[in-house]
Amino acid sequence: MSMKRLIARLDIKSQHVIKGVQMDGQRIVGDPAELASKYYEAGIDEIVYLDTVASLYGRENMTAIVEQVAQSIFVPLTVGGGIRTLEDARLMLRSGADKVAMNSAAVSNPKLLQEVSTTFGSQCAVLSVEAKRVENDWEVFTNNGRDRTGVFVGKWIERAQEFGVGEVLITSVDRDGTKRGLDLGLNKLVRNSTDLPVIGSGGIGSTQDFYQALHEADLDGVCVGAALHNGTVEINQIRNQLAEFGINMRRSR
Amino acid sequence: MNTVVGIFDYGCGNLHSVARTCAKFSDNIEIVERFQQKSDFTHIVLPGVGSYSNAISEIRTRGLDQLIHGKLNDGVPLLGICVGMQVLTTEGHENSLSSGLDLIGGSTEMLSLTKSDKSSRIPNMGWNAVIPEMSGNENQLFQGLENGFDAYFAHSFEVKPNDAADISALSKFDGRNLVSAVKREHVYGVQFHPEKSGESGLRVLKNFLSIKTDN
Repeated sequence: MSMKRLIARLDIKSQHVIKGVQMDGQRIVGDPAELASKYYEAGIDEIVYLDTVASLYGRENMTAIVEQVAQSIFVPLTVGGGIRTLEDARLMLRSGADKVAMNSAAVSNPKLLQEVSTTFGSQCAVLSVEAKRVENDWEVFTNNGRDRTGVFVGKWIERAQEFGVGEVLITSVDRDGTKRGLDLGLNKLVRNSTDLPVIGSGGIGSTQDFYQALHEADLDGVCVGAALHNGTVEINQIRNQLAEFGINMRRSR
Repeated sequence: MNTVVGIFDYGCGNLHSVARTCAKFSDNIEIVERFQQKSDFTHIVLPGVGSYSNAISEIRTRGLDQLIHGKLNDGVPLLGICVGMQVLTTEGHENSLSSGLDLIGGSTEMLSLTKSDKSSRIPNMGWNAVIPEMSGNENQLFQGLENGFDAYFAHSFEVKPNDAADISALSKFDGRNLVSAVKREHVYGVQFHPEKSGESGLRVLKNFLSIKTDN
């Protein structure tokens, strides 16, 4: 019986962890390695780094961060943002990442998902989807929530999972950094579009938000960023409260 | 005694995180990419991500299978992690059948779901409780760990040993038992990733590296 996962999401810009609202207006919140270690010590189940710049410089910067942090955290580490080729994926995995998350490049070249999953195994190929509410549906956006694709979330996930990915990370751009709760409609849509593990991101502000995401939307894990960085929620407290609500959580460290 | 840990590299992804984690407990970590005549390992770690057939064919191409068999004859303990555990079996059933190292009699088969537990998915990704099946004396790997410690899994295939005596730990998947660790003499295998399982996982690796050569 798999336990539900609490995942810390660290958005990276140059050497800093940053956080904005709806992927905009970003402010520096700390150091990537320091925050990852702090959350590891506090009992986080997993860590996700997303490079918000995703330039060539960004990639070199990210490998340095990953190499440093892999020395001191012993839970899974996912790296995304700027993974455009099989070589980019290999570089991140060699630096110490366990999974690579692919969004923009996967939309323009879905075969990348297949290359990564057949070469390194589907367990390390994560499909990252950034979605915005558009009329009565959700559209896939790329380049850190900036560019429209004309592709809709349900269709894209059904198609992308054919390429052998092992997990889906769904981010609501509308809720990112707002602490207003996950977009449950979006997350339920994704849950119903795939049998793969689904991780929700964007909007977590309270234990109640976690509960809704894990119970009502039946997600396998939830990312938390802003609310963790500014201390609105605390890892042990969430874990204990969710366990009291009957959610199956990791107990031992 | 000083340990010398041979981390066997067959070109599949995450060996560096395994190497970094073992480096917490040993000053001598060697990445071994192919057969070598002279080797003084006291421990062998076979990390693993990717597919059974790729892993076993790379292991053979690089001559690492010969090195493994030779070292096991000298009594050197071996730990297979995830796919590294799966290739210890006699055969793997993926798209086609491939023969394994045959150190643990049995097969590696794709996970299947009957949906009797709706929280289970394929791949099986995430934390699960591990229940050791052997007492501490029989299996030093889990010494000092609580019965039902949590560990991180990421796999789509599972090991089915022929002999139940080779099963050293069980976990739950889809409402049934899943073999999460095996042991036969000084050959150990874990389906989970000890290098990614927090403090409990570190303890598993520390325990492995304190197992002495079996002369």
